[in-house]
Amino acid sequence: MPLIYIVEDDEVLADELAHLLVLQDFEVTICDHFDDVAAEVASLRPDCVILDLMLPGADGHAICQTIRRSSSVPILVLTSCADDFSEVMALGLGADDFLTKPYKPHVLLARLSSVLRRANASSLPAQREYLGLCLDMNAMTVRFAQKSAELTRNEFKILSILMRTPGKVVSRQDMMLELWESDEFIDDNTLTVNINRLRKTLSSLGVDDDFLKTKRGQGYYL
Amino acid sequence: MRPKIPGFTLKGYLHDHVLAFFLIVLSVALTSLILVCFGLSASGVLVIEGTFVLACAVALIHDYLRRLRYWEAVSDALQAMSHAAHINEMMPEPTFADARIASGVIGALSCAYNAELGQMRAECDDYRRYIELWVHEVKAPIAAASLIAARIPDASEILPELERMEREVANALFYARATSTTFDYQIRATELASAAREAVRTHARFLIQRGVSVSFDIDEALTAQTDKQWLVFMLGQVLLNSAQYGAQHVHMSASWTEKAHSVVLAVADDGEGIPAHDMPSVFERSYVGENGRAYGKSTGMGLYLVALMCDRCGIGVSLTSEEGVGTTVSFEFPQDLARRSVHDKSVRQA
Repeated sequence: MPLIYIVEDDEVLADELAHLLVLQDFEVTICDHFDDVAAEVASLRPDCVILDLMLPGADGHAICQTIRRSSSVPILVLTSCADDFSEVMALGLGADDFLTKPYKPHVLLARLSSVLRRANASSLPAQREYLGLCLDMNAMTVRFAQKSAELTRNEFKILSILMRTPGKVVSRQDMMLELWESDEFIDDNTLTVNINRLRKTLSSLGVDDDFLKTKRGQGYYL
Repeated sequence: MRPKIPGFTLKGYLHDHVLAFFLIVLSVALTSLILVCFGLSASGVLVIEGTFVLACAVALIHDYLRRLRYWEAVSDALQAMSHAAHINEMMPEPTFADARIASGVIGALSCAYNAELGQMRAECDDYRRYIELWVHEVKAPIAAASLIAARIPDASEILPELERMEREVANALFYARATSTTFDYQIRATELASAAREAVRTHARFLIQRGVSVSFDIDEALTAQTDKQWLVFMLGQVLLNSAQYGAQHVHMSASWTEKAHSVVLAVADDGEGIPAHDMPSVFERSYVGENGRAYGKSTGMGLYLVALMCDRCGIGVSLTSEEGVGTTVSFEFPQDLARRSVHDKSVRQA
């Protein structure tokens, strides 16, 4: 389970962030004093550091730099200051990605996984599995009982969103939102078409027709 | 509009000296009469009175010319200045007593004006800095609230409200920046396609909620020298308007032609359009047209801010609309700002 180290001075925000990450099966440690973040990173050896650039009595940029001096841990920088300047500075100091507050939870998760994937493919589950259906996160293929099929980008995205939280209904709106977040600006009709194609692919693999369920007026779930 | 300042004219000067002329004529007549009574010859009287009149004339003409030169110089200086309050810098050297007084008064006024202006500028900047700081401060609780809302079941209705809050906060920030007395943005080569996608992502929830679909036809290699944050914000304002006023589809396009003098990034929607009588005022501050009143959520700040920001960045902005057909907002980047990066293209093809 990847360990995420949160350096954030706003306690409510840090707790909520931790909560969100724990729900997504991450292990989380929250930094409680900002005097020697680098040393703590060195001893904890987290898989990723989420760092707020604006800290009381400490300079986020400096912390970023110090961590980078002793470790190659991926750093995801958060800030409420959207200026390009901070961005360039942070990236120049060794941060891996950058997110401005207020960030949307799903955007944060998407960025976090891509940072983790880039840093170390093995720290993220390479596949998701549910009821014998196996989704390969790298090859974008789906496997069921010895048979496998390739998915289009959108179909893969949709299936991976649903497999992330089996049993939970994902509304069409939320699904579109996540697809838009990765620059797939599909409209309502295209989503329907994609869902239907996905169902067809799944049934060609021999998956039960009831695997991908529709909850009328609410959305889809597994 | 500068108030009209009366010029220095001969007529005016003569009018001012009516009494002097009257007294001169009177004294010439009186002294001539007395000298004639004393038995002086006509030629003698003429020489004496002639000398007196000549002396008076020389004095008056000298005074007139001195004043004419001074006031003409003042009037020239006033015309050369972009702002009347800067006149103090170019005032001619006073050559007579009342000019010295006028000069002193103008100097004092200008001093007081500049001091007040400086103080107000400082206050404005302080206020603007506070707004910026406040905006950054308020983002943390909004982020926390979004995270809380995301984990509470059935709280999804609060997310659009939080995003609305976020949008309003962003408006305040960009208004503060656009009206700042200091130049507050970072210009670098910005990919138009990437900025357009970012603007759509920023307002994704609102657009999806309103059932707006988006398509792009923007050359990936097109860049413009501008601040990406500003451009994304401006495109966002246009997208929000489209979604607000009944658009089902928004098409964003930009293309490059070798001959064209500029690159135009157009955002076209199929919304209800703007009534012709509202068209001339769409970029005005707090202008809420017929559509805005009908929808009731308009502040009239969106397009005003866009126009203000475009003006500061050197981008041209225009709007065309037909009722019932749609609205197109075009951002025009002058040629010296826009580029089509050949390098980028070749990398992509490889």
